[in-house]
Amino acid sequence: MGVWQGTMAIAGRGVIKTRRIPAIMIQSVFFPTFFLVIYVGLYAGVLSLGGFGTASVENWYVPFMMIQGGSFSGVAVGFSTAVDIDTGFFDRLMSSPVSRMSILAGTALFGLFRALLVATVVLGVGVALGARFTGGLVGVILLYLAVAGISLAASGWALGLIYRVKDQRVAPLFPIGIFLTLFMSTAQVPLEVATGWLRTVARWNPVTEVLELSRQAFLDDGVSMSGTVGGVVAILVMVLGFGVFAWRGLVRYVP
Amino acid sequence: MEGLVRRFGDLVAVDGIDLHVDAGEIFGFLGPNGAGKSTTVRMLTTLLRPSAGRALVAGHDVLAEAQSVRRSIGVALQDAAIDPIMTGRELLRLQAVLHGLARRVARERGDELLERVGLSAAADRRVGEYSGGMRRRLDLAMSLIHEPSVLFLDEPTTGLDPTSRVALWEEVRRLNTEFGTTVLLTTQYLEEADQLADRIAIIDGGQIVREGRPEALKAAVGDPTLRVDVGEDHVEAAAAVLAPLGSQRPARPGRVAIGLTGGAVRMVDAVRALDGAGIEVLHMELDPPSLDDVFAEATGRRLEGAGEQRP
Amino acid sequence: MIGSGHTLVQVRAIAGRSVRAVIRQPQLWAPSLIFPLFFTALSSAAFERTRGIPGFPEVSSFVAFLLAATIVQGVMFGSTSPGTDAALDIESGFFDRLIASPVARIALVAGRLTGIMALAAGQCLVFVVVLLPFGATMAAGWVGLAVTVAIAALFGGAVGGFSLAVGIRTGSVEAVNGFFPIFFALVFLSSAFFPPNISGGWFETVAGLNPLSYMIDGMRTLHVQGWDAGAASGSLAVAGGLLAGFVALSLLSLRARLRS
Repeated sequence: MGVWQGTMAIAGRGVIKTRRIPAIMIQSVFFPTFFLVIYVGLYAGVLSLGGFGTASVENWYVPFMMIQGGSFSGVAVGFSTAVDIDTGFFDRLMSSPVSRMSILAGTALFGLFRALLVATVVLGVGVALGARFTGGLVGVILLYLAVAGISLAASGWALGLIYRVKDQRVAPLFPIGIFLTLFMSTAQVPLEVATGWLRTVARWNPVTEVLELSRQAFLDDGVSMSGTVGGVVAILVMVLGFGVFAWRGLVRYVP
Repeated sequence: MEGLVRRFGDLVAVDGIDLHVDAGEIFGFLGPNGAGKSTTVRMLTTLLRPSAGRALVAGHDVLAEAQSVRRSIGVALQDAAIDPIMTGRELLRLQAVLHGLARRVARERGDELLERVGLSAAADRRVGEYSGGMRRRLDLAMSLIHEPSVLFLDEPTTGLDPTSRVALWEEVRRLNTEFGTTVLLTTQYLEEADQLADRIAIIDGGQIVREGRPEALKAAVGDPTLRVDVGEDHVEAAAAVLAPLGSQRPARPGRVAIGLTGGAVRMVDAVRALDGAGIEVLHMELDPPSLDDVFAEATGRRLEGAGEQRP
Repeated sequence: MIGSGHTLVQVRAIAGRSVRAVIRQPQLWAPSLIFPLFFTALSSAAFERTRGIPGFPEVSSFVAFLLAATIVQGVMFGSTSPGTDAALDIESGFFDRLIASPVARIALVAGRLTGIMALAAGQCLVFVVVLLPFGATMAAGWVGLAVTVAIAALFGGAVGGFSLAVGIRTGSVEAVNGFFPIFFALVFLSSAFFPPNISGGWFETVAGLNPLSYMIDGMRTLHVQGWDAGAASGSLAVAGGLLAGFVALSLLSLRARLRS
């Protein structure tokens, strides 16, 4: 049996469950959409400071909110895995001949699928609020690439933790890690506007590069090589890094 | 299994198990809680790595050829490992795909198994709505979908009502006789081991204390057990009185138990002896040796745990 | 009133139980302290330069601007336990035992809320102490601090009261948690995090209708400008009014449950 078949089976299970309990999907969509609406209203006047690369507050915040939504969908697979470990269902997976790679890939793939769905809803709301594309089709592709990358990295983080600890009590660490990483970047304001420690931390945070990559879809300058390369490298590093983190946790799952 | 050991920190859960299970037999692992049964099963199903020793399942090493082991085994562990949001049919199908079965085969076999375990009607309901017995049956079906050559059942009937228990025993027997499936089951119930297993191993404190066919083990104990309830105050006196009639065996408070040498006909002597000593007999019974007696003889204790106990 | 002394004893006992329960579980209150502080640190570093935008109130630093918001946010996060506790008590049957005992009905409500109000006051002090070195100010001095703590306590009681009303009415922890986003939205849709006059548009309108804006504006005046009796009394009135309203709601919920 191929790795592909197993991966699809496990991802498919996630789809079945999501369809059956729509409340989960609604919850995943609610927060990023809610925050988008709040931020767009609350910080509308901040852009007058200049340096944002756009005059539209919707254009500025939509990419970040899509990524935020994607990251929490990615992390959610950690919660469902924790439940599977608790009920013993995970043991069933581990004692069946499905490859470990399929287990990890299938789970992450499902998280990605949900992340892209959530991001699309947020994008729709953003456009309804007034956001307008400036980077064309390429910009949109890069935007979704950024969402996908963050989602996979987030899944890797959460899964790596739960595979090692095997206890639901570690679950609060999943979103905390995401929050810290996502917000200590140019999430709220660009580097030129940020002050103090935030400017320093944001400069080094790979998420800043990813945000720059994603914002090319909406900023006046559009897509450029310099804006793209850094983000792509950051995505690769994060996905690989957290992917390895999760993989080693899974390999070591059997004590 | 050869010298199989498993340590958890300072605790040695499994302490050197040497065992051979023949293909096509039903083998029972009998022992109290904490004896190391589940730990052993988890090592054999590649869910735990042995601290020392070797184990081969269906000819494959559990460490070096783990993947091959997983292809040959069916597993139904202690808590029915299910996903409450999915339906029975979906879970079976998932299990089939995980084992690499083609879709059509998966569907056919799934339907057949659902029929066999009596879940056809409930197949499209969410598993979360199933009763405990239904979950176990689904668990069993899931462990059989790929027609494994070796089936591991960890305490399969704990918590089940008597009817479900008997039904499960019949199913296990049928698997064994019709398909030749080797079955390794762990249990804390004497009757289960006695009725189902071709051979058993009694495990206590991580080690095997007795091994063999149930009838042979019981015969080895030899004498039937005479149990006399005399009330707590008279236990010592009664024990002294009965001592010439046979060796003492463990018993619960207020009761004396001995292995009655010479068989049932000697009961009269026991009655006379107690009567002569002025000890009132509240209750008396004579039973042929049971696996509990086998356990008691091997360990000096009665087997703990729920079920049909007669200490 | 006959038995009022006894009622006070009961209130203290129940308050003690809820305070102890919360203190023993840091995972309940640590987030309500850490998250607001983190966000305040983040937002002030991000938006410090916005003080220069025309129309921004006179403040020495963005942290000073956010002190009131931090307190309100933290108290809000930390005051939902009365609802979940009540729901858990109902689910476990402990609630029935309480009802069957000679505990005064009002003590059941007052006890849980007193406990949470004490915690809110504590939270407020922690926020002030931690943020003072980072630029927060208390222009109205000790009196201003006292009023701020009082407002925090009243607001904590109000949030707790709402949560309690839902918890008693539904007996379900999920329902209580489901209502949390409402308060979350209320705090964000106010003058807490940014001056509404600069935000403009629909946001300014909504914030203008939100009673929390008035409560927060009053607190902020005490923090950045100085003593102002009007501001102080206005904020106290809003917080007190919310508390009274939700206590009444809780009592109604309790009566509805007892009747069924």
